[in-house]
Amino acid sequence: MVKKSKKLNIGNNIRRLRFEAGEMTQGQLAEATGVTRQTIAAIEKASYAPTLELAFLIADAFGKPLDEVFFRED
Amino acid sequence: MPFGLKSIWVQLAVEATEILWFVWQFGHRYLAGAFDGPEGAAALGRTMLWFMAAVVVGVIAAHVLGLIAIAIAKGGEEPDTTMDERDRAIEFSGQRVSHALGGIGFLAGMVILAFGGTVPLAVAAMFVAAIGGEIAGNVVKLLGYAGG
Repeated sequence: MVKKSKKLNIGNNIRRLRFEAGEMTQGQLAEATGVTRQTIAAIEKASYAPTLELAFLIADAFGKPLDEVFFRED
Repeated sequence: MPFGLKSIWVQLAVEATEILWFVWQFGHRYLAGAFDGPEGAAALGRTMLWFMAAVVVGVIAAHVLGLIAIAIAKGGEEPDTTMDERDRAIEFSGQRVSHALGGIGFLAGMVILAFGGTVPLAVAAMFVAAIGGEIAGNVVKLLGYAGG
């Protein structure tokens, strides 16, 4: 029988960090990380979980460590 | 609306048209006995090749026309064709459904033959399942984009 992996609820501070970064738009963050604006919107509302690589790129775009951008909700 | 999403709508429209056209045309020819007799297999082969080519050409032509329409609407600005990890994940989930239904279509074709059905019916079942699978896959992709 295949064991299901545990599901973590992961939240993020992207909205706040964008605001703090001079009202950075989703489009600007998308351009900085090489994804579409729609993907940033989906990550921001936690309906899409990014890969570790993209998560690091987003953190880099804000100049913050990963755990300041993403966090466990449970 | 991202380019990938527009592309899915175009594919859906073309595939839905193709499947309806195929069922109508194939059914008409089948009932008229176009696939009977010694030349029946060759006629079936030609018909299927024609429809397969029509699907490919139809999707490409619709995409080219769509790109031209977007370019005109945006005053010559090139559409953003960026495909990122989320697009690829959604693409993958849609392809899984398409492949599964395509496989079921192949199985259905074999079952039709095993229970005494005709070769044209078996081939038609496989073709309809393949295109139907593409349609279902595209619907899954649309749901993926809608749900995040």
